[in-house]
Amino acid sequence: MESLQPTRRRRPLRGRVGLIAAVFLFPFMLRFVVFSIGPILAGLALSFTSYDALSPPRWVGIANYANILFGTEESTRIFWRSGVNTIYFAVGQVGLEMSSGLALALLANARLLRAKTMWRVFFYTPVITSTIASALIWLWLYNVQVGLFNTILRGLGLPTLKWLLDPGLAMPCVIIMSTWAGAGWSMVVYLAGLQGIPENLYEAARMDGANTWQQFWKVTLPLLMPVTFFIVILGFIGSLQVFGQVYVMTEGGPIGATMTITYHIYNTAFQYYRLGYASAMSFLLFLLILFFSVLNYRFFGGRVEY
Amino acid sequence: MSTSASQTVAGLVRPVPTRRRASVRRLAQALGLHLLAAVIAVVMIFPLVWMVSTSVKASAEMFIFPPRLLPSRWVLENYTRAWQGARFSRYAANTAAVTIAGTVLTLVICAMAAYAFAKLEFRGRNVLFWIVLGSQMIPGIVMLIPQFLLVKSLPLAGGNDWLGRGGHGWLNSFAVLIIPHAGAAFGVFLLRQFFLSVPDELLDAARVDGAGDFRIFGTIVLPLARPALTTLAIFTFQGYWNDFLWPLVVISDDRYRTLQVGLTVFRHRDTTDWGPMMASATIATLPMVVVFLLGQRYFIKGIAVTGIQG
Repeated sequence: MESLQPTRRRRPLRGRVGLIAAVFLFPFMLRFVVFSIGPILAGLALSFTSYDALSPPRWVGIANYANILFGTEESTRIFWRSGVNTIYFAVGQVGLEMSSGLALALLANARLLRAKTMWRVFFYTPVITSTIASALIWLWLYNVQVGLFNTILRGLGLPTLKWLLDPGLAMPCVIIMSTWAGAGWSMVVYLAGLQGIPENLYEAARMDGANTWQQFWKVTLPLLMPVTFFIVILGFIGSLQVFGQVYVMTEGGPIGATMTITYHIYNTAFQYYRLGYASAMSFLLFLLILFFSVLNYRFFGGRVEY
Repeated sequence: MSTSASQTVAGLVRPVPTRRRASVRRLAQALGLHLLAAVIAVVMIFPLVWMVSTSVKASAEMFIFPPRLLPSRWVLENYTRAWQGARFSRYAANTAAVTIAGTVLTLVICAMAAYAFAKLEFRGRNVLFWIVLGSQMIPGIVMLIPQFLLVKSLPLAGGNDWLGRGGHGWLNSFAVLIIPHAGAAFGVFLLRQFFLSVPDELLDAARVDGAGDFRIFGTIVLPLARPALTTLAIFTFQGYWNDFLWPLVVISDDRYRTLQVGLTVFRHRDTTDWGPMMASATIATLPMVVVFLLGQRYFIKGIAVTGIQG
């Protein structure tokens, strides 16, 4: 009797729960299928076609992929150039953002520091500033004739720099601006990680005679590994798609020194209307991101608890 | 061993100087720490201060040496030029409307889905959840072109026939700025984490009292989840407010333009009007700063609830 009751009561409920769940899930699933899953599949299909938005798409097999990678047109050259630039940007930006974020977190978490919240707010503020506004501010700071940096150099009697107009210096300038904009984010992620490290681990380390430096290398850093993994993976997903700051600050120049893959995709799709070709490029970028994710997984051996 | 012994002895014999020396060292450390924090804070805040400073300077005063943080004469001319001349009042109103609508829609969609994933045991729940979570790993750029083609050829919208031909669909509309990005998987994930922490006994007690799932959702789970909802609201607000590539692609009509795209209107590299440009950047940044300062603890908490503790 007692063993029968639960099953008898649960069975009719199960269909009802399914129905209720469907109602709760409906708005989300509708948007998810129409604007996420659908476009992903459609984009994949599109990448095997030639399509200019006027005449119907024409199936071309892997011709787009072959053309992008090994073709003879200018676009192929730009693609490889922008690929190198994108990796340069991503490695530089993620590396700097990760290390400066960790440094900020350690500082903002230091036991002797008063008014912790205030400092965190200061360090985080650049993150909430939009990419476009940030890029405009730095464009102004970097300006060769009247920007603040050159004004100071000139005032000190030093030679001025060409900053964003110098092909060798332009990308580092964009990386610095992006690190400024992103360091606060990784700080906050690291702060969450730091607060998850139990205090008794440090006590045990001190008992064994570990100094502050050793505690950092042997306790803090290894235990922050999953956090680092998380920051690096999200960092690469974001920075390998860099667009806004390049669009505003350099337009890919000078002489292609800051051209990135996303910018090339944007131009190809929305200036030249080669939509199938540009779709293929976006999937190649996806593969690049996947490659970096796998690399990161290997390197940091990430075990992230969701 | 020797240190602890000497400490004990020193503690007994000469307590004052040792303690003072230790506290002096601590004080020096604390002082250095605060100095370092102050220097970094200045570096982080300075570009924003410089933005505001430039925006209230007359153009003659912009290029003097040594550069001044505060102008000798405050001018609002840059703001009036941006607000009227560059149609920033329109862009600001558009952005505010899209951001608020998108945030409300996202909260509703995500909360409902998160409740289903956290508290309803339906078949295929885990598989579906992993699909949703996995989709987050796919970069947005892959969806950009098909999403553009989709909104352009939505059936029966914007002059389209039922096959999506003939018109411009949702291009140049508010719907296209709000709906495709509403209720992202991230929000479902964040709220689900929080809903999981609501005890099942509470829900069961309500069920015994005859409450259905919609009552439980509305009167028990949602009020308890206010911190998580606030966190999601802030992140979503920021996402909509600062969105750039999507509005750039789907809006060409000035009437629907948003602040971020409007900002790039000033970007003519050689003849740039720095004063109005910095005034516009200030207008585009200020609301986010206010939202951030009001809800700053939720920014930090939000990242902690997504479960990335060490």
